[in-house]
Amino acid sequence: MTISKSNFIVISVVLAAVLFLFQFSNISAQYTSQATKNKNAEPSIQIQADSTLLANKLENKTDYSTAIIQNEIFSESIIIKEWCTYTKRSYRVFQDLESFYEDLSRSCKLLILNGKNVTEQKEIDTLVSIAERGIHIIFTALPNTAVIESSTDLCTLLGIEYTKDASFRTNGMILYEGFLLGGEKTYKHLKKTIPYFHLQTGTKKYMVGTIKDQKKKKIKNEDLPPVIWRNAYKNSFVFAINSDLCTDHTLLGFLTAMWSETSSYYMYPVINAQSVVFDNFPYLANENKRAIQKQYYYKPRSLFTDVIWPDVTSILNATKDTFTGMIAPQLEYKKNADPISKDTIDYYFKQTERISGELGLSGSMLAKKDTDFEQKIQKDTQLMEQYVPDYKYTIFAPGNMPENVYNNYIGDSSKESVLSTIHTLVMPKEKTDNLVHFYNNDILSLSNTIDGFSHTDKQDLYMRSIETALGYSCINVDMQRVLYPTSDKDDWTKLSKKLSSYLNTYWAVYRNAFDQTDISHTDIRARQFLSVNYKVYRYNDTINLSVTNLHGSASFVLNLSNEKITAITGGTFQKIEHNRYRITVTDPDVIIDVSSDTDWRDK
Amino acid sequence: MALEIQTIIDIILVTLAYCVSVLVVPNIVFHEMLREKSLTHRFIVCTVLGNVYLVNIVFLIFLLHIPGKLSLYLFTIIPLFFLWTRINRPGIRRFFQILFMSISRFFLGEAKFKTIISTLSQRPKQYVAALIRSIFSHFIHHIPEWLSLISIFAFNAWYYGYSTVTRYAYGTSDLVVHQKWINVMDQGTIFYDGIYPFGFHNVLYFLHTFFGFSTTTLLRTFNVTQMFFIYTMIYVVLKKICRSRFIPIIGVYIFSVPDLFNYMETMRYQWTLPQEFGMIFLYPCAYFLLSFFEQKKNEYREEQKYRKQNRLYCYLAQYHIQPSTISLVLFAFSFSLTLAIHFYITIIAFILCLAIAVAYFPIILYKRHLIPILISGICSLFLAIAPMGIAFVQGTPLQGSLGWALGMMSTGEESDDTVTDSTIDTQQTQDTNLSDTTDGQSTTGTSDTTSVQKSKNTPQKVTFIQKLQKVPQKVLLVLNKVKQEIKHVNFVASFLFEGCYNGKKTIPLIIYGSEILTVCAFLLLLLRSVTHIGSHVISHMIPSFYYRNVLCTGIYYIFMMLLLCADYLPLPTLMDYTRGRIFLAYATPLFITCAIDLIYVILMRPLRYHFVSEIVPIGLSIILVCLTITNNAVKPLNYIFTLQNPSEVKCNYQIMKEYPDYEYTIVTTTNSLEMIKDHARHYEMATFIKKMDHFTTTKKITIPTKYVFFYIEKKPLNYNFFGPLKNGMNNLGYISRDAAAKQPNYKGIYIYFEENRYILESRFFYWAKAFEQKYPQEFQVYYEDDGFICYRVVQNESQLYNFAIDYGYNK
Repeated sequence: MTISKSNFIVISVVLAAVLFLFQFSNISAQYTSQATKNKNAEPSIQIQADSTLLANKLENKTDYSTAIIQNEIFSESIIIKEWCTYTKRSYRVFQDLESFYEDLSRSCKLLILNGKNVTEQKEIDTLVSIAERGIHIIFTALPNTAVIESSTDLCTLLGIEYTKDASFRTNGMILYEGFLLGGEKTYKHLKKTIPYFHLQTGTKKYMVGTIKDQKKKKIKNEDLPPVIWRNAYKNSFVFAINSDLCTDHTLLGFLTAMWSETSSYYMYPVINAQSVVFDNFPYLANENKRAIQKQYYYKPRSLFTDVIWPDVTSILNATKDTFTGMIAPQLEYKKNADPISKDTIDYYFKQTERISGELGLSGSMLAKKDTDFEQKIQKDTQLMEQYVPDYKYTIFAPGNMPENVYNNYIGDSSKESVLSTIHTLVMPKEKTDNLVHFYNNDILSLSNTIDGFSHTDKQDLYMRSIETALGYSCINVDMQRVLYPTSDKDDWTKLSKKLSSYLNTYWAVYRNAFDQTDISHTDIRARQFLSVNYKVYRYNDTINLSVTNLHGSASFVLNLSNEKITAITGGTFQKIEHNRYRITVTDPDVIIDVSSDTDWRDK
Repeated sequence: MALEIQTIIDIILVTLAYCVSVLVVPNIVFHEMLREKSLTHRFIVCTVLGNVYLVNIVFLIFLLHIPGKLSLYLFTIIPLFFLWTRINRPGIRRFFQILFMSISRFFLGEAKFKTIISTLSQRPKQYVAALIRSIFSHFIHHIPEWLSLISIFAFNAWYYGYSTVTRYAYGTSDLVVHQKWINVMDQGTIFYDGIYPFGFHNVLYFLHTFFGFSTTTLLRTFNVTQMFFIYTMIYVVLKKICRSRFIPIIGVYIFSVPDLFNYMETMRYQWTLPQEFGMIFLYPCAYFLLSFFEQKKNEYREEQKYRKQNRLYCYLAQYHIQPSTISLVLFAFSFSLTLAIHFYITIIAFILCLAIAVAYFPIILYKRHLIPILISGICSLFLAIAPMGIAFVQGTPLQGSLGWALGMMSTGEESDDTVTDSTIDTQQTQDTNLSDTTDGQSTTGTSDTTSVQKSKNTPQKVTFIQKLQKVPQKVLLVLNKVKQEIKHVNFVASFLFEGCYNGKKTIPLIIYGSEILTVCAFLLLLLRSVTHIGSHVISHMIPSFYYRNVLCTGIYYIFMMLLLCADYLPLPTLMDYTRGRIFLAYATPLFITCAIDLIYVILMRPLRYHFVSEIVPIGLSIILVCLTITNNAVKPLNYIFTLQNPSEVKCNYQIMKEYPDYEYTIVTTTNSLEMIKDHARHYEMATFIKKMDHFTTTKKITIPTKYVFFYIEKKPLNYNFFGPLKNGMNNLGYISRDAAAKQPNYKGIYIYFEENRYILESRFFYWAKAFEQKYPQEFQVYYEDDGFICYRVVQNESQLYNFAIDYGYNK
């Protein structure tokens, strides 16, 4: 059988066309690739510290809406001030209750104090007078039980009927729906020793302790030891936190939730960003070979490229999170280390581009001396200039690098280091006082909120609180653990399972509520959040929001009381959960129409 | 959607569902039997058959202890399908033959799919086309009747639906009890409070279960549907009796539009009650009994004719079941329905049958009439009593009101709450007047008897001539006595009728009118039977037994009159005055219309009842309408009881629609209990307030549902107040602090009456205000108007609010 010439030509042309079509996409992708250029190097919106509304602008000596009584725990006052900054509330810090009462502002609506400072009857009388004036009071901690028991006025103010037990060990805690974002949650491992009070009628509990064998003891839910509650006292509300839960930023969410409980609606700005940051990943070198080969039968570099990277991308693909990786070229920087190949760098940059992620630089290394860190910066600069000279690093996670080291380099273009173009720092949460703040006029510092491999009850409460207050989370996944394992728990197979399950469960609610972004976009949103100022007022079923200093857009959360949004102009809205909406504002004047929420069948 | 519009839609849907169940489906199933019958005949047959079916199917599934939606569907549809295939066998067989042939032709390639579809759809198409054509042609040929009837029914729908649409709430307290019984049927129990005629409840249960209407909606709206049937029955039975085509409409008009009757006589049609539902089947009893006589006469003549020709086999072969037998079966069904729905209707049906029996004397005594009627009567009793008997044998006791009804028959005194004070006053006045007059009468009577006794004491020899001479005297004496009795009855009736008819001049007209009609009809009947004048000429022009039928309407009315006056005559009291006059009113259009028709028959005889002669009744109707309008005599809106705040019903509907079942509690009086029972939890307001009395901090009231609603009357209702509908619900004025400071009574059935309700609602209001201060965001106003407020609390089910607070009046 022979093939005619014409047939042969046709078949050849078809085959050639098919070959071309298949190869064309690959070739064109390679040619058009911008992987070695940072698309976020020049942010669309540039907001600097001096154009934002920071704490110093909100502190007001005469006309303040929030009064803070300074206490022994200094960090608590800082967090309260931070909360005032985030919610754009004018505030004033007082040394004691007396000085506050003497200099009481007409605009004052809220008093925040730590109850441990209340010891004398005079102070109690002052508190009662303040509450009678219609000023809401938040006790970040309760006065001593002996003081409470001795004063009927204080009991009435706090809504305490009597003390059942001055020191009671709870078996866990229950956080009720409607207080923090994320719904009801039972914390079985959050065990605290607290005074066990019996509350009066007219109080509302937001968090209670649980009791072992509650059913056997025939104790009703309503009689469980209260942890956070509200008491209606004449024209004001008194909130009480009966535990030491407010030693960190958890207080932020509590304050937001409590303030929103004082009125039928409450609107406040949020960052609206959920990020996942992989610290020390991508890893480019071949260090700690023996241990890694023993455990995984892979060389470190291969482990990261062939095992961990596919795992990470599949996990992120499942959760639709955006990848932000902090490159760790090396962690030991030994002289005899294997050289870093260009292929590895290219691989990560191209893969990152494919999944629309972004890359920053990690400052972590296994060293303790400052000089070692200095050398690391220089070596990293050399490496990057050699292989990816066009890539401008804008994100830096200092890790364990001392501040005095990176402080000299970041944002300083004269030193021609890899850190000279940085404008976002991703800080470990223990190394920073504020969650979101300006490191200097240009550089914004964002704090990690939680470790991606662990999720304890306390961390959960912290996460919920930050989500409620700021609509923000930054999950830090430190891959150094994988490279330098200390126990079986650091095995990647176990860690990847944990990471996957945590991301899939605990953040599911917030993913629907807030946007998933990389760190560069989180940076932009945080700057917008810090710069924006607003006023809200309501007339019948219309809520008017007036926003000033708006750069592009800003996000707000609107809490309603059994109402729903029916229409909005000047922005868009999205329901987060029952009674809560996220508003994205694009115009300075926003009008929101609300009506009674009538359809309760799905709730 | 506004509740007004929702109610109108509900009325339409309920009417449609009922019409489909009792008119459309029986018409399809008995299509072969009803073909070529008149529309009115079809209507009445389908109504009776449909209702008998519904009532007994529900009885069956309950007595077999398999109640439920599925069994109801199966027991309803399968027998109907079987019946349909049996009765319409030739048509169905033919259809399946065509289907089989078409499919065969399709597979053999002889015909295309399109052709087969057109062949198969040809028959249904023809049927639908014929139906539309017949409806259209019927409408064209009976335009005056249709237009008049539609207008009258539209007026009635407005009149009897007004309360339902604008006030939402039940108009009488009985409905709550009936609703409870129907609701309990949902849980698988029939005869909840004991054995009672459950026909009405069965029909509503059927509509509720089969079509998914809530019992509240049914009880609120079904009155309009049943009114339509009750009024249509007047038309249907008059259509049967009257010669004129148009005069029956005058009967319906008289009963509907003019302000002729006392409001108490038409008031109950505003509500969905068993007695009124049972009235639908009262006149069908008469209709089928009269049909029986008519058909039996024709059959007898025919039989005689064939017998003479020695061709009796021909006569027998032409019937599967004789038409007279079918009529009698339908009579039995109607009679059994009256018994299955309400005993009072049975009493009236019995009186109606008795009137027919008197009018048909001596024909009724013929063997061919009497025995079938007696058998059908026994069968109907058996059919109605059997389900109750079975339930009784199964151990269900008798319901209390049966004893009450029997007591009523013996004493004639009603303790029913429907009797208002004003009525009682009127009745008492009448009683006093009547006792005076009856005393006077009896005194006269005694003197007469004394004189007779005296004459008896002195025996005298009397010759035959003397005896003959005394005959006229005796006749005169008897006649005099009859005259005296008639006078007495008329006298009593004229007093009692003041509570029945509006306008003093109307009463003698009606009383004497009914008597004259009876006498005239009797005389005409006598004249016709004795002389047979012109009988051969006009026999085909007027319906057979025409005079007897007219006579029976007159007699029926007189019997009803006697029933009403029984207390003051030496007659047994079968029914109390308040109930009796409802039936008297229902009988009034019958005799008035028959009287008009009798005049028409006499006057139009020379014209041979040519269709042009219908101009006279049409003209008369127009005059009547004009007179009604010009004299401002259109009946005003009726009276209702103040039982529930309309806003409360509105909230009930809205909440039931918006909230998931049983996840909310309503704290209110007991009015809403039965309405919400299938969807919500109920917490009684008095208990709620009582629990907070003598407040201490240890008091605790928790309600374990996510949502809690509080219904508070800012203007507490004047419960059970009976007043004009147009005035709305009567209230006791705004709640007050003074009232809240008083101690309410928490015991007895009168806790929600007058002052006590005022105190309770006042306390409830101030509790709400105090609670609102403590929970301003959580305790929200859900609905508010001038007289009513509904609060809503959304609470965490794991951490319930303690509703017990010190609100200032409970220490």
